[in-house]
Amino acid sequence: MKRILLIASVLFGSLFVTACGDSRMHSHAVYMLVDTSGTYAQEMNKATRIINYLLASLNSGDSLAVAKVETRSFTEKDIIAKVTFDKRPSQATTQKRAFKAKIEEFAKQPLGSAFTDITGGLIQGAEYLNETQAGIKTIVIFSDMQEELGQGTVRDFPIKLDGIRIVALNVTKLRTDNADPRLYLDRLARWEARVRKAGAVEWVMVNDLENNMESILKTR
Amino acid sequence: MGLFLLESLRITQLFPRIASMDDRMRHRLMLASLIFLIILAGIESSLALMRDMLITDKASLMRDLASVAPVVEDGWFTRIPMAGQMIMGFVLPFALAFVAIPLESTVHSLRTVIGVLLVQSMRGLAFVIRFVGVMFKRIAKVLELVYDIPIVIPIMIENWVKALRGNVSDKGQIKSGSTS
Repeated sequence: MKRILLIASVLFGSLFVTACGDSRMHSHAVYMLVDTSGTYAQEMNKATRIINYLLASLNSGDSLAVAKVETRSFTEKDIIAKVTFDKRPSQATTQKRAFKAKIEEFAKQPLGSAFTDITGGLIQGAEYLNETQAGIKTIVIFSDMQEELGQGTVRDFPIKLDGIRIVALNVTKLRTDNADPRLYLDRLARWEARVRKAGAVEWVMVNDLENNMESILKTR
Repeated sequence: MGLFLLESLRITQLFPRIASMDDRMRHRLMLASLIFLIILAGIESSLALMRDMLITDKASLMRDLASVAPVVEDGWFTRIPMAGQMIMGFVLPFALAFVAIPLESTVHSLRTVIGVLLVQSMRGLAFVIRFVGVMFKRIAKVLELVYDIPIVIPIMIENWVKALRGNVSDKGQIKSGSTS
């Protein structure tokens, strides 16, 4: 009888404890890739606005990193700034100001790279996001999604983006896209297929930055 | 702290030990209580200031991020809520210290008050139970009276049928008597 009571109390207690609270992590980690190649480098002002929006929207405990997409982007050296916001709101505000200053300093530098390694940036971003152990992980790609790899850059292998949301922003149409829209649509379809195959949970495209910026962080 | 301050000033006498202390010790206790009370009141007041500073800082950051021009301050009007909160934060601990005076009265009279409340609640409970008992006692009579209303017509019909049957059997008896 005593043993039965003990087992029953342990079972009930464990059920009670597991029923309490939500064990998921609710923090949000965002890794933003900024394309600095060719004519897309002139879009830096828009990128700064998006970064400011992310700084305003993210809260204590969230993480943000901004990296540039260059000739070869699978490196920590391409990360312009990264931060995990402190639990104390006053410290988080100071961190946001410092982050903004770093981005402004970077924006003043001359930009432009010969090639665009988006895949390398995605792999680097996935590595960073997995380290943060955040509940919601998002890679924001500010690019025309036209990947151009230099000689010796190998990126044609399966990548892992498990549990990560991919948001493509400001995917501008190139002159060739205007001539043949199928190039643009196929390019986007290929990217979507590739990231979904890699395990991404969501593929979002946002071109209307005036009215649709909330979609960047809103999960579906 | 406020309680200890009033105790050491002999305004209240909740703790007879403090009132019966020698003057030097009581004076030290009074000073210590007063200093702690002032420090705590100061901390509360500064929290109001910090809160306002944090809110202003965050609003300024949001304006910077939105690339909006900084708001031109209207002057001392905008500082009235902050000043009010700071003053209240400082004064409230001292005001709350005087709660010790009615608290003393409550403690002294609590025993009598609880006793009176208990007596009244017992009386109320007795009334309710007596009322329920009387109700159950009388309900049988009420049910009987209520039953009388629908049953009167069937009883009248029964009596009428009995009377009819009685007349028929009397007539039959008379007829059989006359023929024999």
